[in-house]
Amino acid sequence: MSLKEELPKELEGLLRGQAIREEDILLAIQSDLDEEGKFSPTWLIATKEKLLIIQPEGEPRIRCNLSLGNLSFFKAEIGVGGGFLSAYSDGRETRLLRFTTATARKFQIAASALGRLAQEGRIPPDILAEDEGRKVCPKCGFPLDPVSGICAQCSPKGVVLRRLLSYIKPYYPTILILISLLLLGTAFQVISPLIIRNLTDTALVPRGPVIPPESVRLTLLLSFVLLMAGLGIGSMLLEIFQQRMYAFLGQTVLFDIRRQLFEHLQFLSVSYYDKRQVGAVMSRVTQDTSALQEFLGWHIPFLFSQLILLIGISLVVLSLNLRIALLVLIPAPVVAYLTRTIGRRIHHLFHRVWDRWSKVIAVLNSALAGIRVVKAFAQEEREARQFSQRAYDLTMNTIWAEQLWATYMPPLFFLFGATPLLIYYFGGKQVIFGTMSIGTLQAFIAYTYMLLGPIQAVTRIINWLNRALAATERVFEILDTPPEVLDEEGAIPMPRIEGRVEFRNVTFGYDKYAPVLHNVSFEVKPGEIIGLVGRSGAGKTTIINLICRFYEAQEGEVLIDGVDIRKVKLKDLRNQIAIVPQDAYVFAGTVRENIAYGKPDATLEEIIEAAKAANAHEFIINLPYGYDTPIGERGVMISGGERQRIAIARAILKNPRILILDEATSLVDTETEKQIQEALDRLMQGRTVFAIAHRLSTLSNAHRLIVIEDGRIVEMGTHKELLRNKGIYYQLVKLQREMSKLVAIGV
Amino acid sequence: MQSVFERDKSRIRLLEPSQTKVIRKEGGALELRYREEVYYPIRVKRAFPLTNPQNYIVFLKENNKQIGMVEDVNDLDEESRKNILEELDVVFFIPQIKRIIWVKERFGSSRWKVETDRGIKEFATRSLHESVKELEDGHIVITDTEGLQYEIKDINSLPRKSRAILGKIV
Repeated sequence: MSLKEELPKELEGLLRGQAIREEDILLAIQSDLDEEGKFSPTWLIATKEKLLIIQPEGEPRIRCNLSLGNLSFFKAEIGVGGGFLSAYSDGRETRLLRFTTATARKFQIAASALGRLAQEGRIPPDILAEDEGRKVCPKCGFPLDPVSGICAQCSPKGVVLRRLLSYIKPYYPTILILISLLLLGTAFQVISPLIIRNLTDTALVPRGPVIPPESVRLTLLLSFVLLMAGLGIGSMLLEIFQQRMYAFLGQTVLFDIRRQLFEHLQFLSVSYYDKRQVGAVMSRVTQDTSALQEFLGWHIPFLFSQLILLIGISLVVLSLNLRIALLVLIPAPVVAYLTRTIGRRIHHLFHRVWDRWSKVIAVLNSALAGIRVVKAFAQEEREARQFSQRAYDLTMNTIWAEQLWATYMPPLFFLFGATPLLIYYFGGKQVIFGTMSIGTLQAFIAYTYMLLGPIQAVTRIINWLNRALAATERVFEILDTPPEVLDEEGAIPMPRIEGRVEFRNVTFGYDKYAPVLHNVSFEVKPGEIIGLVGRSGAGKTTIINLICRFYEAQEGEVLIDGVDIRKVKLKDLRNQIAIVPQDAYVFAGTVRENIAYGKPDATLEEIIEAAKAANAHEFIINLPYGYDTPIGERGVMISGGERQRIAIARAILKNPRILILDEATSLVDTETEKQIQEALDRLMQGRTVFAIAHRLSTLSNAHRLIVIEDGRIVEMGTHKELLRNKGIYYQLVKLQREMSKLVAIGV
Repeated sequence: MQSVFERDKSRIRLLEPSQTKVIRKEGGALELRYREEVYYPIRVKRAFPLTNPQNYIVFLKENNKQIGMVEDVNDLDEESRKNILEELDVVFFIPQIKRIIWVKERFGSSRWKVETDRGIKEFATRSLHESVKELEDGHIVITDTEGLQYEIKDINSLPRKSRAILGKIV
């Protein structure tokens, strides 16, 4: 994306009239709405001095002509579907233009670019990140999928498909065997009507001047039946082999993809997960990969075998009797077309049923999960009413769908049966006139029925392909996301960090255009305990995210022991940082595994010592299986305070140089807090500590406090100093004391 | 920082309609005059944009601090009412489809050309099941790949041909 889009020819005259040359233009972007909110382009053009809004439609006109020097800042505001860009100058707001959400992002960036232009006289080149902006398909001009970057309209399906097929490459020998088995199986299938034909024509109703004696015919009959039995057994064996191989192939490929996917997910940056819901990512590992497996291991072989069957049947019937063969083959496309059209209608209806089902389930789920609330508010009847309403809706839709199914399917089946009728009539005529044998007629009838399989396969192929392609694209989108940059070239190994942390003019925003931290600078000595104070959203957690290098500063530097954090080997850094978060996470596993998570080779004594120091040993011993008690999902339920102490033990065992306490005691009661605080005090000794706490009393042992507001450091110093200054910290403390007094009195 | 110490104002502040004036100032932003108070520039928001778009219109300062609200926008004088509705239209933009010109389906995604109250528009959607939602009988919302929503309040108000096109796909 560029902030200088190509201007239409019609505007040249207008610009010349303003004495603006092509090279004067620093910014030119197009909005998709006009002043009245109609879909019609509007241009925003900026030079060093001027800002123009131009309406090109009809008679091009300049709607707004402002001098940039008078404007101090710009802001794009976005609501539902639409928004506007405004310029501000000493308390005055000037509306520049409107846009829809389709172009909103562009104007957000433009607002920040224009601000810099007004202040500094230029637009810094780095204002645009590479991957920014709405991407449009170069071929058809339609917007690309923002997630996968693929044009839904004309993405090269072949490329995706080929890439998918590359997963079965290692299994080519197996596939070769599969294909030959498939060919053999198809041959057996195609041959069997021919055997029946010969059986009828030679043994049952032989024709010709000389009819063989019954004994010969009986021998023939027996040998044909035996032959068919042989074919049947052969087919069965082939089927067994094939199915076993499909199962192996499909599941192995599925495993390959899943493993690769999960491995890749582990190495993606934290910011990747910020933008996505865990559920959505999970469904890619589970459902999307299953869809791929279904496609590779089941649909492709099925389609392939049906295709071979189609070719085989066509060849045989064409060689048997050309005219009747055409009667078999010509109706096939018609049947295929009808099956698809009707199938789609019915599919839509059943999708609706499915949708209503999920609505019923939603009511069920929320009413049962929230049963206490329902009862507490005495709303049982309303819930029941709502359920019956949704259930009724479901019933009606299901009836409708099933009735439609009942109405459409018999005619369709009749149609399937109609082709054999044609064969009976025209073929039968030939039998009567002696130009065709009864056996051949029988074979034709058999082939007509046999054709139904391939016809149905053809009608489904598009659906299957679509579903598989969508899943493939989603899976590849993950695999194509570059992993977190672990180490720059020449990263410095730091096996032992002293713990000096310094922020130098750090500016950072999760979204580049909305900084959360502004020019933050501070220095922390090794072993110092720092309390971070401020409202939620002030930027405390962001500072911690930068220390852990979950994100990197956009401007300025974060230094660890005087080295830019980007140059420190990430593994060394993270090995020496531990976080005790507000809501400690425990993995599914035993207490022991959870404590030793950061140091899997810890001795039993070390583990117990860590637990002891974390004030966790007591409660662990009282768990049914001691340190071997399973906790986490499906494990024994433990309280928030207990989880917290396990997290602290985990941090103690890791023996970090830098310790981060993110609201570590905010979710527990006072008694537990005391125990945890005790454990934390032990943990903090000799380490650099950053502690965030809303309850300021928990920060009493901090050496220094940093007060942050709106991403800026507003106060810094010891508890006493800050109280003496009577600034923001003083007021916060006063407020909290008053509140706790109120609590104490019981107001 | 002030707000931390402010005790929450637990009562809503309803503005007296006859004392409330909303004026469009030069430059296009709105000014609110209520009794002796003057606020500029202001933002307006709906409290119930979907169910009660005319009721409980909230006035905010530019920094999103609330000033107060009016119970029904129709109680205000004509000019204020017009200014508020125009302003709301900017930040709550859902075009109403009046006619469907064509829909082309390909590979599970679709391209549409429609006539809306905001003019002719072409857009693309992902799978129809995901992007075309029927809220209740005959009330349809279509979401395009850009996240923009289009609404058909009553499918029966569309011309016959549009209904036929829609009927074929949903």
